[in-house]
Amino acid sequence: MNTILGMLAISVGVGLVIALIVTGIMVWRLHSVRSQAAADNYIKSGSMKVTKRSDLFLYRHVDRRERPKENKSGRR
Amino acid sequence: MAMIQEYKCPCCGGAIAFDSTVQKMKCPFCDTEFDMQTLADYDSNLKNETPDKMEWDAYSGEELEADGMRSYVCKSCGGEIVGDANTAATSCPFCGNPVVMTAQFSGALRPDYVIPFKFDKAAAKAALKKHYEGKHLLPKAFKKQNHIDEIKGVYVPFWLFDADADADMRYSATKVRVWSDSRYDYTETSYYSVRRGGNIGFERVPVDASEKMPNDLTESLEPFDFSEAVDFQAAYLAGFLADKYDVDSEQSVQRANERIKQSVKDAFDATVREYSTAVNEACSIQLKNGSVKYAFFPVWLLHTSWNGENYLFAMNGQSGKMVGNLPLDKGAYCKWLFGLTGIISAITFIALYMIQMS
Repeated sequence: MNTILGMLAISVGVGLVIALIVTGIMVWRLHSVRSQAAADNYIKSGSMKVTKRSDLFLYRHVDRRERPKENKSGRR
Repeated sequence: MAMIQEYKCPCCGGAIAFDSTVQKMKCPFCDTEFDMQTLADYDSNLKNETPDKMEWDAYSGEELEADGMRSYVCKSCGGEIVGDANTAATSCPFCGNPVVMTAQFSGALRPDYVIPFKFDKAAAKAALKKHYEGKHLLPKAFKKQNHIDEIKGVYVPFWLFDADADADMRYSATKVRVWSDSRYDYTETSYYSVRRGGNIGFERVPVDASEKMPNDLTESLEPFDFSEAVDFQAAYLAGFLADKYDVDSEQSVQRANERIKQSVKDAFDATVREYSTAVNEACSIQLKNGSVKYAFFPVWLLHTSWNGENYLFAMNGQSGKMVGNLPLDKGAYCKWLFGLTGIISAITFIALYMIQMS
């Protein structure tokens, strides 16, 4: 019974999230007036030149975590 | 009294206007067409004309100009045309003849370029209908009851900014390497200080120079294809509305800078993609070789009203791109939300149940 209820809750949650995304896109399509963030359309073709490039290594950090042990008695 | 110009048909004397379909001046009365070289001759003739002198002009003009208004006399019917201080092209309210206020284009006010209209009024109406299509959350009554209150072709003034940008960027970046052995998972993070410098050129970044036009609306209409721009001739404005700029280039440059800066950042951010993460910590942009041009771009404006609210739509008169925000049908939104939730939930539940049973 609990399994069924759990599956139902997951199903409704998944359904609601996907429905919110789809209807969000539908609402977004009603709005077509938006400011332009950048001026990419007006970059002179081939005008970009990278003249300075430096990649300075600073330090390194290693994080080590013990792997979870395999449960040999678990269900297949 | 300010000077105005009407373009008269040499054939029949009727008022002629620019026809976007044939890209020529065309007389609506006798259908005679005139090529644009003729317009250049018109413009040169205009410079030699002297404005009317009428004693009563000063009296009415002073009163009107105190309110920021100007008055003109229609050369066809003698009717008074009242416009604001920026009106550059309009039509006579009495006889409908198109007129161009040539004084608005004298000296430094003369635009460098104009992009002529390629779409006519019928195309703008059709584009608005198409704009409504496929919008499931648009109230059905809006489509049915909605009518166009006003439609007008407007030449919108724009500043066009050219500049070369020198950029110097600094990023804090990391590279992440992950591996495991029999007992441990390892995550190695290497930290870098990354610098990128270089230059990038911009040409004709447009900024709307009209106070009346919302900037987000005009930016939504971009891009305009500048390769189709021609040297300005006042005759192109005949039959359309136009205002001279009322936001000067110094006020507009801030908006151009914002967009240029974002583009420079985006372009140089793309040069540090080999890192797992890269956060921009410093950004210095120096502009050089900056120059500004003044141009008129074609826009169809459509005003509609529904449920006591006004809606403004605009169409790029060169590309046909239509923009304008539409109202939301909240009832339809709820139906779609709950309907989709129900259908997707049912499908998900069946899928989970079958997985569980297998």
